[in-house]
Amino acid sequence: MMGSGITPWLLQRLSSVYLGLYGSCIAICWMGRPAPDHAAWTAWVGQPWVSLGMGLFVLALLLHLWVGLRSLLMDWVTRTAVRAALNGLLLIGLTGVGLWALRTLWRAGL
Amino acid sequence: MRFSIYRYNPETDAEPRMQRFELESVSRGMMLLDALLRFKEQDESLVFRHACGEGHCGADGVNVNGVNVLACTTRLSILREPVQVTPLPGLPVIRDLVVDMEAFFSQYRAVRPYLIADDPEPEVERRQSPEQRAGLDGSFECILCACCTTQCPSWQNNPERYLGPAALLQAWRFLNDSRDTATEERLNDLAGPYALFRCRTVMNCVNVCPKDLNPTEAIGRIRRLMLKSSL
Amino acid sequence: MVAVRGHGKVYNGPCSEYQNLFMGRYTSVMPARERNKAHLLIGHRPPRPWLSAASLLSSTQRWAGLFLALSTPYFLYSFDLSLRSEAGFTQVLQWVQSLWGRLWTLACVWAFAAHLAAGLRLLLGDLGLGLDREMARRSAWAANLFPWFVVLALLIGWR
Ligand code: SF4
Repeated sequence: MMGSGITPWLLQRLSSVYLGLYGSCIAICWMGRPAPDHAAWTAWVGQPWVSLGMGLFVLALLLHLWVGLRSLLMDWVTRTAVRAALNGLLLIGLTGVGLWALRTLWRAGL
Repeated sequence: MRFSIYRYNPETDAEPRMQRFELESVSRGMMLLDALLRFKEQDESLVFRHACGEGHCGADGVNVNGVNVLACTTRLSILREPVQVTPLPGLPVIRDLVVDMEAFFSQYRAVRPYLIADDPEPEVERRQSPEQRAGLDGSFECILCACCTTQCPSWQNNPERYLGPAALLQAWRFLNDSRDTATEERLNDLAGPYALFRCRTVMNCVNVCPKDLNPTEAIGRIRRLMLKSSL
Repeated sequence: MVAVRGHGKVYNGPCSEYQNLFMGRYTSVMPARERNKAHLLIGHRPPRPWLSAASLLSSTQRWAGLFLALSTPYFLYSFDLSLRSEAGFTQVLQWVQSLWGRLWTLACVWAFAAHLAAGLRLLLGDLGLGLDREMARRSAWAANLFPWFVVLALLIGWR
């Protein structure tokens, strides 16, 4: 299967573009501004472009994390059984993080 | 000039050791291979490979102060003392500086480094235009010295499954050949997460290649070709 | 410093990416069936591992990425807490503005900038740009320095 090599690689590159752009946008957006209070903060996060963007951000992040950590395991863990177990843990962990993020964003008004 | 050279004979030695050698007079333009040959006069048991002595055959790849080089094209004047000469890393040592290149060559064979052309054989020969021929520049010059592959950390991590820069450069050489018709099979050979995609663009291969070739670029081109053909 | 490991057969020579000085190399270059014969080769100074700008960058990217990956739950937790209630928001704000919070933020910004710069260079490489020996060396230096400039800028901004 050609896909098992090129697909993760492509996902990694595509997600990195979004992560870099959105991450830098948010950073620049808050640079030099004073810290908000709770109401302003929730209102800001509740804006559709922010919360939708963050939803996508989380999705891209999960993909990026999966590809990166998977290749790290391929390089550093030589025992197949151990690597498979760690890959399983990784998937469970990522799913957990994803659900958690979804709940948070949902509450914030996604 | 002080040298420290890796000595190991698996049949008699329990473990490898480093042996000191001293070179009294260093003349201008003297290469590392000349020094090794002097040392062999001093101690006949020292073993290393060498053949053409001018960087054409790729037999005398060794690791010097951490960097893979060809002994015959490395000037003594650029080396820092004490010069530590060890075998190419990551390959089984047969004796002293001689390593077993079988793992390296089997990866070379794995990319089928020969022309595969299914179209009917022409009367005279399979022609290429000058431009098509120029596309092969920078890939056919490889002398298979294994300097690049054994210096690659990704290959060191996965020596059995990642093909390494030298083999991948040759894969590109035939993927890029206008006469070759087996592009799809070749790409399928490189599929999967290990064979091609363990490259992380560390570019050690480009830095050490004695022929100034660029395996990293070739790997990138293979990826782009793969992307195009899978879309 | 890394010790040269010899064992029955394979010579594990110096390697040039820092990640491999810490782990990986010793576990995988040796085939598993020969690993038990492994022993340290001591009594001489091992060759200095050779480290180019690009391999330093590659290691930095990997370690920074791992650091960011492991701190994802931290970010998510603070984000969650800050949105939940007034009290949680104040808590997060106080932590971020404390000395340790600032240092931690600085570390995260450094890691993000380093990972980003190295990644940008890889993306350009994917497009076939800057892959010749000289350009790659220069861009590796630039990307190595980039996170330090970002951190410096942030420190100046905080003053
Ligand atoms: S690409 Fe260069 S370093 Fe690698 S085997 Fe060929 S000649 Fe040697």
